Amino acid sequence: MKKLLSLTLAALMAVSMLSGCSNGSDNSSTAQNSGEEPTGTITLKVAHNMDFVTIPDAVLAAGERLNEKYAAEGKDLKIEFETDYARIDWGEYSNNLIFAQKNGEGPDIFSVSDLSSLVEAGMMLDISDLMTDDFVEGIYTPYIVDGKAYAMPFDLPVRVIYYNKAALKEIGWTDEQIEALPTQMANGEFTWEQFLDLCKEVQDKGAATWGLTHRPGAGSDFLDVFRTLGGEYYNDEGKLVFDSEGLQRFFQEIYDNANTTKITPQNLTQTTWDTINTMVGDGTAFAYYGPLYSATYVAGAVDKTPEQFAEDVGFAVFPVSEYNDTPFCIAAPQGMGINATTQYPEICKDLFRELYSGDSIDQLAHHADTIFTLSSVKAANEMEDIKTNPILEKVGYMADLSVTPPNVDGLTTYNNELYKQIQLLELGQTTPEQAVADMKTQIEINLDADLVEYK
Amino acid sequence: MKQNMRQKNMQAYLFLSPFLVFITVLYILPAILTVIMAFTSLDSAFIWKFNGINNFRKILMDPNTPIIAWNTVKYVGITIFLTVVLDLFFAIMTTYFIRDERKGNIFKSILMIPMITPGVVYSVLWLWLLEATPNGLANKVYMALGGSEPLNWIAQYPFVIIIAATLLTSIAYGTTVFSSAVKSIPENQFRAARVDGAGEWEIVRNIILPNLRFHITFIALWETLGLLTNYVTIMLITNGGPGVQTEVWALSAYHKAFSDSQYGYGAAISLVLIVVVMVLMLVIGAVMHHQEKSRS
Amino acid sequence: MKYSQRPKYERRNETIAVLVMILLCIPVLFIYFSFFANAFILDSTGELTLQNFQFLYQPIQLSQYTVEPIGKAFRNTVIFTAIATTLEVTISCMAGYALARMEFTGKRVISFSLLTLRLFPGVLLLIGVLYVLLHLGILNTLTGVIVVAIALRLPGSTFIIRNFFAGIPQDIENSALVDGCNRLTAFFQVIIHMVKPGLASISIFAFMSAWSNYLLFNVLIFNTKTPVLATYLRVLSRNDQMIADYGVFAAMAMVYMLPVLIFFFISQRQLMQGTISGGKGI
Repeated sequence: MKKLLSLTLAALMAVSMLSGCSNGSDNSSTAQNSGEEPTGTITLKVAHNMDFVTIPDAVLAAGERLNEKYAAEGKDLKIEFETDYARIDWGEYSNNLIFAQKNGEGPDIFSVSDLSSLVEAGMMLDISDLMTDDFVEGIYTPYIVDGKAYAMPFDLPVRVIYYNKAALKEIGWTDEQIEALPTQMANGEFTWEQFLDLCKEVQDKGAATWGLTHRPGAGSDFLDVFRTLGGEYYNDEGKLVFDSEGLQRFFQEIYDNANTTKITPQNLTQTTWDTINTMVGDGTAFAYYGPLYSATYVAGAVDKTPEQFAEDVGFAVFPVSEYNDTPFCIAAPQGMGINATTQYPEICKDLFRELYSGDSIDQLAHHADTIFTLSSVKAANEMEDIKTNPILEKVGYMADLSVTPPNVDGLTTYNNELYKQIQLLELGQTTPEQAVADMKTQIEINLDADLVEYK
Repeated sequence: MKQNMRQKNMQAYLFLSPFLVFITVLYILPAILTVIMAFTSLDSAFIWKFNGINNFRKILMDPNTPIIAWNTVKYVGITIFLTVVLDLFFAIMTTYFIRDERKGNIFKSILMIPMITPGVVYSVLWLWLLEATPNGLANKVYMALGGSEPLNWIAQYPFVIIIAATLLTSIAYGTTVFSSAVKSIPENQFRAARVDGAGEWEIVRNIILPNLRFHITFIALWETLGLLTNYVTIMLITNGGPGVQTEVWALSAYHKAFSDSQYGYGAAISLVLIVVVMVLMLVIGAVMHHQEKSRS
Repeated sequence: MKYSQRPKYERRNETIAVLVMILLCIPVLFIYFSFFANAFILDSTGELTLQNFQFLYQPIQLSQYTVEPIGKAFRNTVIFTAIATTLEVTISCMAGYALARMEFTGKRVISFSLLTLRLFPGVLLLIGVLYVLLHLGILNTLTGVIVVAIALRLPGSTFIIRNFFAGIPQDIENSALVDGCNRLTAFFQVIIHMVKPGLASISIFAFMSAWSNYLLFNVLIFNTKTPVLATYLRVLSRNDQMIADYGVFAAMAMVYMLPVLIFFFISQRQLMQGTISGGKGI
């Protein structure tokens, strides 16, 4: 019987060993009532996804400044951070946040994507009081749900059209003509139809292997072309719209680009980011549409500095077309939110305040400069970092043409389904009509009827 | 006597308890949860809301369902067929024809390499091999053989590729099983056949295959179960695409649950597969029962 | 029978078969070798280098992404594999022994469920498992993954080892029991040594599948603080974005696969035997 006992003990030990290796991360002090002033050292968990770590790093830097202030004021408070920077699909990232939250280990401050589900899961703190004049007008739009703001925008990246200047030169354009193109596209003198013809011309004359390229995965970039063709994907109330007619036109164009005029490689959706970045960087592809900040990747893929890159590639807004008479570019800020269940809501807000109105504005300017985007905060846009950025100095005018779409419930699903059809269309495996019908069925199945307006 | 039985029970259950705890918590409980979830609209906000048979209606309404079901049948059917044929071929080659066990084992070990390669490495190996640029190994070979343009293999032949990739990892298991079965055939059966003037092909057909009958059935069924439910290779190489061309049933459950966070819907899709698997298990049970009976 | 004594046609057949097998194996080996050769070639210039291995000791910069050195992921993988393997083998041994050698109420039911569970693919229950772990508070932890990894393989291992136990002649155990050992001493001193081949084969499979596991980490771990080799490599090679160039990836893959390969060469014989007795990784 003694042996039995020892065996049980051994089993118990194994179990305790097991629990010992869990990464029990929450070791911060016990719960504090929000009314009480926190003291001592507190740890805030910061979560972020994808490359632009200058966003969470700005929060960390703001924390340092606040600590210095507290020390100067003689306040017994020190903020420490625990970071978790992921690099996964945004959908997965949102899921992870919600699971972590359910598991009682949700981060205090985190980058936000798919805001609606995060709000529904009850993990977003209402930060409407941070919506001040310090920000560029309208920039909070994507983060407003039912009239409340849930995340602070950290930048103002716009999505644009890239085009290769050398290719235009090769087909006989003068330098003046080349430099004038963005202006013409911005003031309605050069249309989308003309631009597509240009892509074809460049390709036919051998100045580039491919005319027009795009991202290799689901994403909002496609919505810009959709919009250029008069397509609608949200209405005035910010509700998702299924616009059959617009989609038909868009799908027809996607199909034609890959299969009729062949300005887009048929298997573009099967390639990787790196291949596409290289194509755009070395001029194999004449034009590309996507966020301006992709320029950092493109330049990196072909080992160019931003200055060199700005010499070779021009940027333009989406021009007018037969179906759309306002040139535009979409601004899609990246923002961070605060956990509704954080123990330190006021400190988290102070960190944000420090960033947009305190001494740490330079951090936002630094972030914007790093990823080639304008800042969400007016004061940051006046800073040297942004003013002297070789790419940003040329695109300043775009801010006036920028449109900031609201938070649209179900857009992720919409984008995923859209992309599936784009893949098949480009590979020539479906027809535009079929694609519209198939996508409609998928939207009907996967999104609740009251989320979508069909037209 | 009663005292004795109680003690025996206690002893046995002491040995069994960890096992039983694991099974209860991680099989029985999740199974019950999956069944319940299949009737809810559980999503990323994690609110349990029953929605009747809505999820199953969605499955039926989805035009992709027949495509995915057909993909699954094709994927499993073709892979099983080829696996069994290749297993037999390799087993006979390395055991019957190559009598030297050492040499045979070397080849069998080489066949095991894909099986032991971790999935994340194995998939990149294929992506690298089939790279769409002229630098890709497959394209280099293809162009050396007279191909004019580099091919984008994965975009053009996604189904062939996932079958090939799966096949390569599944050969080792069946080959080893068949090969030990071949080894256990008494040598004098071959001798007798040869004395009767039988050629090698006849020996394979009339002696080896009949002897391996049960093994073949077993492997075919066992691999079917594995292929129906194991989607990691597909997930890592094509992730079901382009479109839904290589999406199979188990992978679509994963996608709905873990990519679209429609956990309820995902559970419903899983449940359908679980029912299919259960039926298959009954068949396997019957086959094994039959096998034991006819042996004794 | 010695090679030279065997009939001529047999020797001829063997030669042909060996040639055919060599021809068939060459492409596979060639692909593997050329892939791993990338590890020693600098992507940009094509010269021989060890630079691709810098991730072993220092953070490296890949496009916009700073990759932490591999140490932590390696350590986590070792911890995970060691605990999962040990516990899986221990628990399945205990259960297998009870089912093979003991008489108790409910034996038939448990034996039958073992048969069923062994065939049942547990991965189908992952959605439910996730929920269970959430409530146990071990979702998003290494512990959670260990527990699930063990559970998924437990029926298979128990089934194998039970058959090994059943194969021991009752006399041996009886004589041990007569010699004054109780069940436990008999178990540890005598019986366990008789099933060494079985232990070896379930350990090997447990090791292999734990070391290579990707799916469970993908589904059950939501932070970057618990990297294992599988997720460490996967992050750098997503379908739409291959961050690491093939040189660096091949170098990492080599580090990842080396223990598997070493283990494989040591344990080949048991691996084959184990395969025959019905084990297979998930």
